[in-house]
Amino acid sequence: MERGGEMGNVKSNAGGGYGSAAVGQKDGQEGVEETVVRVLSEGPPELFESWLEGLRSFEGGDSSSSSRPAPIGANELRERGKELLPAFARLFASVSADEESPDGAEASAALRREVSAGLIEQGLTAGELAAVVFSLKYAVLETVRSEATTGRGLDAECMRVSKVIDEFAYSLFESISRMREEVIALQQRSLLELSTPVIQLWDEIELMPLIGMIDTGRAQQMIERLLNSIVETQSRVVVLDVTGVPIIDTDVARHLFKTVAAARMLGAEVIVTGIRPEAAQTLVRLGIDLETLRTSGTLWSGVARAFRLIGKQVAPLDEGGQ
Amino acid sequence: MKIPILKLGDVLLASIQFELTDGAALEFQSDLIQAAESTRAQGVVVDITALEVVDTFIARVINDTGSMLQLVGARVVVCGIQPPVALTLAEMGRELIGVETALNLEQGLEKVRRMIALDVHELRESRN
Repeated sequence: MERGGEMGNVKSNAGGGYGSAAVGQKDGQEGVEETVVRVLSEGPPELFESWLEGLRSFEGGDSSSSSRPAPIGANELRERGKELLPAFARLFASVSADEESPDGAEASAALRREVSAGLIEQGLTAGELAAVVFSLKYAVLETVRSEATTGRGLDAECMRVSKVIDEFAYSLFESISRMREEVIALQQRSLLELSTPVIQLWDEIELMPLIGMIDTGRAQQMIERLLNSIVETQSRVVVLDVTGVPIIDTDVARHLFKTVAAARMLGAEVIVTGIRPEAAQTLVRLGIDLETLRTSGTLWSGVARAFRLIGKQVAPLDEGGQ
Repeated sequence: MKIPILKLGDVLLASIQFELTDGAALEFQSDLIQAAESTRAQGVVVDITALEVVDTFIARVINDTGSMLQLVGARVVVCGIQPPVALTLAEMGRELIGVETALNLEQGLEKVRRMIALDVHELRESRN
């Protein structure tokens, strides 16, 4: 909403600009609009120089990056510029077009997204991309200012250039943050999957080692996975190992109780193993009654108990053989 | 529609195949207890695999049925509780307390027979 309003403001300014440019044309001179289009589509050497210079000053302005080389070399910048500038030229042209048709606005939005995606793929950081885009803006404005043969409509056209580049920057950063969010969500999912494996230990025994902090979201996911896996493998005993859980407080205890209650309803017994001495002390001090839970000190004693529950035992080979 | 109650030796078997209304649940409860009483069954297995939703009322009916069957001398095992059902009931803090559970019908039958055997054993012990 906010952005829409902003666009409206700039647009009306830009609208005034076209008239001025038209007056310039009538005089037989090159209007400011044509200058902008020419600068953008031809990309004169002065533009690149000014762009590089701007880029360097951006870099210097950032104290942490003083020792870092420029994010993008002069040659690479020229290569990129060859793709970027015509795109900006088209965007610039579409600013007038999108006043009439929403299709134009959509097309330029698509173009912005496309160019953004191309830039992001270069592997530059958000800060570096900002430096590239905004130093380009100053370079274009400067070049247009020095090349313009008439002062008429210069301000309006400059506003228009600013608007085109700012809108592009907006869409660029939107794309960046969206991509980052996607990556974060993906990592979170895979982390969840990784952190709650269910291992079939024996015919009717399942082992679920818990590693890391248990919050409500994880607990929920953990219970669901465990229950589904119990039904899938028809396991009668589940060993829930909490050795890797750093803190066991009231919340974690509540989740454990819930897990045990739910698994019991399915008909599976749960043995909780690996409650460390500190955790045991905390739980007792907190007044949490763990009596209803089957607990074992270590994983192996828990597993031995699980075997007994399904009527099996681990015995030495020679004794078993004799 | 009545829920069929099958006799399998000294064990009764009832499989709920459709979502229960409150009325149907209560009707099933009294049917089951009467059947247990008249057949002198020692154990009852109730299979609720087909139930996708178990609300607090149905959970209470199941609980009560367990206690009632205990009174007429039969042990009860509920089997086939679906994971989402177990999760919802655990979230509500309402466990099926007092009712033994099993993963499937096979294990349910096995469990109820074991419980009956244990009862018989205890009875003999007390006589000696």
